[in-house]
Amino acid sequence: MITVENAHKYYRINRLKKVVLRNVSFKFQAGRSYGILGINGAGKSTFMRLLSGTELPNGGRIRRTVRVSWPLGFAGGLHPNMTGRDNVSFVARAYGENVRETVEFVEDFAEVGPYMDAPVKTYSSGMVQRVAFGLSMAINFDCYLIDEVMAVGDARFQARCKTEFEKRKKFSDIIMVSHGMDAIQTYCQEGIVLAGGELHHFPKVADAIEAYRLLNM
Amino acid sequence: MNSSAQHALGPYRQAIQSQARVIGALMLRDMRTRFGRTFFGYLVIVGWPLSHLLMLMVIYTLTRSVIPIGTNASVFFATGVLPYILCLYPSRMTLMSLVQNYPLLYFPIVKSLDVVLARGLLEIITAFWVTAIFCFLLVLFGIDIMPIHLEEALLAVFATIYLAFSLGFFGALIYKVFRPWQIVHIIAMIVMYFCSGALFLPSALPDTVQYYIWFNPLLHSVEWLRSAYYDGYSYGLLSKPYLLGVSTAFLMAGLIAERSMRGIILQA
Repeated sequence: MITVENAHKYYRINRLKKVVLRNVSFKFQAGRSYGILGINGAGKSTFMRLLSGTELPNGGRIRRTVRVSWPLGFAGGLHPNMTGRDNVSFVARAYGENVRETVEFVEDFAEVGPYMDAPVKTYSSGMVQRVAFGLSMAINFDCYLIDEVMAVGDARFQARCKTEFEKRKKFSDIIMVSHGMDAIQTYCQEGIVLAGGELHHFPKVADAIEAYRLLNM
Repeated sequence: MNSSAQHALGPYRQAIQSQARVIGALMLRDMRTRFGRTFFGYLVIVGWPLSHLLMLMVIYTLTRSVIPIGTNASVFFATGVLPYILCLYPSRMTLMSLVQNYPLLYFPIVKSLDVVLARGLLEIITAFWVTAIFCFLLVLFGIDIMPIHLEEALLAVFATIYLAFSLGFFGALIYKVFRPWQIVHIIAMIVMYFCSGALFLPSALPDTVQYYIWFNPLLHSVEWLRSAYYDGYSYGLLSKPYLLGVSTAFLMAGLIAERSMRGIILQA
């Protein structure tokens, strides 16, 4: 599904070199869902961007053989001066989806009502997140990358997300970053702990959570 | 074609279709967002360079009655100012594309190349509209702008737009990582304009000056366009291969820059 080949990634902050991945190789198998764990600043979000292709490794390659989503989480990508409708139409067109159906789905899912025709900059942060999340749900990806998104919206919206995800689980895989162990345990079969620039793979997610707890001690 | 060859072509065709879709979506989005949220914003995109062009025309024809060649001042200035406008606006708009639309790279299907190409294509279409409407308006005012060699005039316009696209393409990638580039670009454009022969006849200048201004690609645009209007106009200054060569060199440099800075562009 996604193959990481000898990938190397670092950041330079004030001449301080911070290595996120140190020549890492890993193969994400289709049909499996993965939870990625790590302490704050370990580079989980960077790793997600690398997997999606919105950022490139400094060395090595990352190959995707299926349609992978952008990292769902915050509102990135929505244009503040465009209406919600225009934003959704653009993404639907770019991904070759039916524009009208996609807009209808997002309208129904995000429940922003008349705000769909208002510029995104007038939205509350919860509305932005709901539209962004609905948009990613409207497009059929083979693999969803989820970065701490389960905390979006109120309880009602969270319940809707959950049912939507339950539907997706049959056709799509999930790679998830979360500090909520419940969500990881619910959605993922396998676990990966990211620490010190290395990926530690655990075929059972419970073992990964155990290792993560040890890291936090 | 046998089935295995067709199968092998499949991924390429799919990739091209997907890229065409993305570029189409970007162009539509660009037309709707650059000036206001309605489709009429596109009228502003066309109207802006057009009014600049007409303003320069009015100023020059009113203030300068003596022209170095031909009998019609409007034709002389039109053939000088049109290449400048066709070069300035498309190149500057394309230059800004990547910085303006950077947030869209958040969607992995949108590549920086698509963003620049979409803006470039839209600017090419706009440039043709500007040219067509400009000629139409001149005819309305009773100015005979029909060139002696129509095909040469058209080729000169194509070549100028190609130059603008290439400069903009290269600039878009440099501007993303080096912000002062926009200033460099604008100053270069102004210098190119004043050295292009839009307002004078290059062949009337001293040889040393001619030698230096020969390197200005915009000069060749103007010379090319004028050669379509005035018989025996070109006195050996015009080099079509030079104009096309400079444009192609910038385009190639832009493509190389895109490939080598892909990671930096995404991160910056």
